[in-house]
Amino acid sequence: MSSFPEKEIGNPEQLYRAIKPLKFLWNYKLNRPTSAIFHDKNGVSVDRLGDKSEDQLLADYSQRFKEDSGVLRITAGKCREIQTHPVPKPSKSNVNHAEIHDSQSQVLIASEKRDLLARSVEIMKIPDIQD
Amino acid sequence: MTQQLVINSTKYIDAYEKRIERLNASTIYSSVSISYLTSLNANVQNTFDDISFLRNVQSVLINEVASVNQDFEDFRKLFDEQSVTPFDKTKIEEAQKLKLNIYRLSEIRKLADNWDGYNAKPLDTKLIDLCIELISSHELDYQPDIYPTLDGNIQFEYEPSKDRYLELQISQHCFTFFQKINRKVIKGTTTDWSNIVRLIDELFS
Repeated sequence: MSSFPEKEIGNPEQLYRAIKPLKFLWNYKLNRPTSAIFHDKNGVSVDRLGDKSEDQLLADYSQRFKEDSGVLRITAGKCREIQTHPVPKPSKSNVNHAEIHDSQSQVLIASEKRDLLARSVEIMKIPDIQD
Repeated sequence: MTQQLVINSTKYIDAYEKRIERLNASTIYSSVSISYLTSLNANVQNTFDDISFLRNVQSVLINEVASVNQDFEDFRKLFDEQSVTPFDKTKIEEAQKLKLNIYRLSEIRKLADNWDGYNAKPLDTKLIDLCIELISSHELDYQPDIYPTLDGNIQFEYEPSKDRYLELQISQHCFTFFQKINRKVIKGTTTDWSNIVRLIDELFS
């Protein structure tokens, strides 16, 4: 039974995103995600922990995506520092769903901010990409 | 008398046997000597044969060297005609990367709906064709890293060093660019591919 997380996303709160083990999502040379994963005019989907533990969330990701998927994490404070806008977007299937937008008025994140996001995210688990 | 005869006869036989033994020994020695001399002779013959063989090898090698030199000349002329330096490693690497990029785009073409698990859209076939045309263009010296975006676009990335970065969004109608060189940022949109090529060249200069 999960409860709705706080409406506002506080600066210390971590936001998570899974990365499928696809070579199109990962920059091999620099061993980090490509900024292309933050190019989404519908908003970049992320997950809040809510009342889950981090281990539970990782287990959910393994089930929802694949066991060899990667996991990224960034604090809402860091998102704001690079002038993006984290927004809670709970849905029926996922009360912990949130999105990162460019700003309050624009969804698609500008290129320089996407580049900073790709360099700032913490890589919790590297996707096990096989060619 | 008879006894004396036997003794003499025994001595004679002994002497005879010793002579036979000596003769045998000599024969064996002679036989060994002859065989040694024969083998020596063969060795001498082999040495002559070896010298002859080496002369042939030398002659073959001289011809080979001439042939290799000719090949090199032909190779150099071929590259000169195409304004390419024979040992320009970068050109060869970029040609290999072009092949890989074309293969990568063929894989991107196959991506189905929700390919990233976050409802990413499949890519437009015409956009893929445009990207193949762009990366194959004669004026492009450096191949990009190619990534599909989640909303169905294609992104080209270049990062030759830590403080030099160029990102391009390719669409059917225009190219959106973001270039960062030593913290100096240039960004904008153009419909002219040669403007993009200039940015790429500047990034590597």
